[in-house]
Amino acid sequence: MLVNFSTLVLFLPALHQIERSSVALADKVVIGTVLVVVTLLPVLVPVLLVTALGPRAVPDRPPTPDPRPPTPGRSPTPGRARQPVGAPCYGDPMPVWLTDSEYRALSAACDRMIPPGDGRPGATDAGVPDYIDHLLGAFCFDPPRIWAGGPVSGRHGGAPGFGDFHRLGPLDELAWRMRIEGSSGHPEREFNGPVVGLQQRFRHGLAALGADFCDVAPEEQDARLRRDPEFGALVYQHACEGMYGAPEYGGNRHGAGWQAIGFAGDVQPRGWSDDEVSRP
Amino acid sequence: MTVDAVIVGSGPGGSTAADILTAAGWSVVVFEKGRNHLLDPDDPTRPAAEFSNDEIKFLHRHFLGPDPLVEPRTFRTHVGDGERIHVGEVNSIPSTVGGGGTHADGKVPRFRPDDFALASAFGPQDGVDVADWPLTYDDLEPYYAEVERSIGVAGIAGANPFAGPRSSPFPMPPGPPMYGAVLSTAAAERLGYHPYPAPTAANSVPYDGRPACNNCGFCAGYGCPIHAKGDPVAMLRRAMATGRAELRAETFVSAIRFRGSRATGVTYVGPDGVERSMDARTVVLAAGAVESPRLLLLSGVDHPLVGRYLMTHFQTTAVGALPQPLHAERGRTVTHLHDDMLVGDRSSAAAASAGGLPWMRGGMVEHGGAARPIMEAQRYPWGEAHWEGMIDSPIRRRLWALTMQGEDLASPANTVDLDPAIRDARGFPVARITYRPHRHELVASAHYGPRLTAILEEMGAEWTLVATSPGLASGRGTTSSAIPESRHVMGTLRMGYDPATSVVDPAGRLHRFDNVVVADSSVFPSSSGYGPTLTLAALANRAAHLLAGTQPATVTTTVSVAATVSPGTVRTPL
Repeated sequence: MLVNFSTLVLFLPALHQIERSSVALADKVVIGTVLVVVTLLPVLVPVLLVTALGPRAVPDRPPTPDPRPPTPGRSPTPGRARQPVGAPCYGDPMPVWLTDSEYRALSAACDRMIPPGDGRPGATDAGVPDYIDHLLGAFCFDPPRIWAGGPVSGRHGGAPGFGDFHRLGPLDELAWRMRIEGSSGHPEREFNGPVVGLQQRFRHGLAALGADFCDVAPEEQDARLRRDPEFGALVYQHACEGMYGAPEYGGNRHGAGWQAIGFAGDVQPRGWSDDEVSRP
Repeated sequence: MTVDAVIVGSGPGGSTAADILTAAGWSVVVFEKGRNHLLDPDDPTRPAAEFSNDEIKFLHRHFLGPDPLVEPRTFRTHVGDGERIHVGEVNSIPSTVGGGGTHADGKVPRFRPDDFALASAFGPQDGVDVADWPLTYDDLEPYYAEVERSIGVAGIAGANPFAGPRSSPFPMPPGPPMYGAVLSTAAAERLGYHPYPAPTAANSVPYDGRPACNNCGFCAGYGCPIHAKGDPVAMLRRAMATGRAELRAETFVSAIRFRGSRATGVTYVGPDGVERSMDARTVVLAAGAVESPRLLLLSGVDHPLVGRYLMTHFQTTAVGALPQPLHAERGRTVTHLHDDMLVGDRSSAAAASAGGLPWMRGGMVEHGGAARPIMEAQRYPWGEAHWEGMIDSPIRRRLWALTMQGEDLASPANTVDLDPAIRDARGFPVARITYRPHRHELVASAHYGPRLTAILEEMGAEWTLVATSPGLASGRGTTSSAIPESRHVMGTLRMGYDPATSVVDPAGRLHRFDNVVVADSSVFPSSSGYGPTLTLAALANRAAHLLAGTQPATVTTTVSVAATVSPGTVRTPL
């Protein structure tokens, strides 16, 4: 277990200073507690993370969804077997960044926004929560799952390239860490003031839906989603991306979203014939 | 090391200058603040393979840059708004190798002869500075012809009755019309308009070593996965092939250095964040009509006209839902134009007069449509209404749009300057845009909006509506709709004879520093109502020829029209 020696070196003298200071005893206790927590933070954080999230906090495989159409009889990848980088899997529920309960609340929320029924997939059927989870956890992967590769997916011919995500340049990484993680006190991210990241917005928004969100009636779920229109819009914006974006980003599983609306998706290198362009 | 020329910006202007200067034997270094997704890093004479049919990457995740979190701009409608009313994205053109050429759907019409003589042909208006260009259409024609061949433009000479004279045919025939354009052009003709196949910088046949466009439909807003769009990949590849050009991506030029009346080079910040400098005999400024004046201001050039007269086409868009699917996701986004509303008629003259204007002009009208499913879905409410919208799909499957790129007159109140407080991630003050339309644009939009709608109704639309950018309903405090979205930005370093009323001379050189040449749409004295790309490339081509002492080729190259490969059997989508 790693112990942060530099903070430990400061620990005892600081404690001594607090003891000798003239503040009230109650305040001394508070300050002392803060000092202990801060000192042990490097130890506590991994412990807490592993406790809260289980081994999924550090994903051991990139959940690249299978870009191919579903094969009859093929079931979702069992268990959590390690797979080589870039290998296809089915993106079965396995949150990368969200906790299991956040993931369940997000799934329920997305299904109210893009509901299943009439033979159409709901958001969760199509992997929308995975899409959002993969965006929030984009930096758990190398390269980060921000921009899928090119030039073709293989769905209409050619060698599949979308699964090879682009490397980010220094400025790209700064921008996407700001967007996802927020400025989080990093001075280099606060050149125009603090930035609230998507992780924080989703975490707070999902918590505000209530611990019983998954269990209440659909009408009540809708009412809670409408209570914070800004958060509702945030979820819906990303739900639409996850429903109709390229499957390599974790949503639109097997092109389910595209099939439901009769959209061909990416069509290179096939393209469309002149007749298909010009005729009804 | 002193290079012959440093070129700031790798878009259509900078790439054209690089092509002409390297052909004349100059050594050039092209600086681009964005990333290189266009050319193969191992062999920069070949295109890269990074563009794709990916809505998330291109429309929702800033792949072509700039990312507004690290390179914001600020906006206000006029000085009365205070320092700014918005921080973030403001009418930005891609910040990437290839610049605006990467995301454009490649509509590249020439301007008309009267666009170069606006003051002489039409006269002044209150509140704006109407000016003639210091050159004529005939002066620019040989350069237009050369850049059309260089980029590879598909079109038909004579199809547009309002076009200026041409010395040579288009290098390629036009590509296939979109089905919606077949209907909308027929409707427009029935109403007396003159639609024509849009001159388009996408190959209709294999050309210059690049394949014909295969109509994938991911055109406006996307990089071309097969590089059928010639602009500016063609010019950059040629420049790199000479061995005399070096491309430095992710490198921000933070200042031009001057001594006396000459520039001596530039200071730049590379991807490692370290500031360095480079000496150059000539500096070619081609960063676009927002970033070029920003760089001059960052360099301490404080001429009162630097950044003034920002123009951006006033867009009036009529949309209509047809009863039948139009599959507008196939093809080149826009395949036809008509110019009648730029040219005007008796009724537009009467509307101008009634609106208190001596004259007015609309703009070219683009016939097109191509919403993608994410963008569509985000416009419907959530819940069951999501599926009602997506299945009926008025926006994606049945919508057709007519967009008028209305001429924007040059107002001295519309400017680019340095924001007093907001910085980019590198620590430099960002560009602040101060812009609001003039009465001319509003009167023209109000006149032509219903006429665009009438075409859609003639076409069979079930319902129609008209929207404008910037929006008309926006008052103080509402910011987003007040920000123009045209991506056509012009003016800000006006070209002219007189140093008191212009920033650059007729050769594109700064009046004050004659080895600094501006090669982008900053120099436009007026905006016309056509997309600016071909005209800015022609001006860059001319400026580079004047620098190098060379001439554009006058011989018409014959293009071999190879048979297009017929796409295989029709495959069921997914």
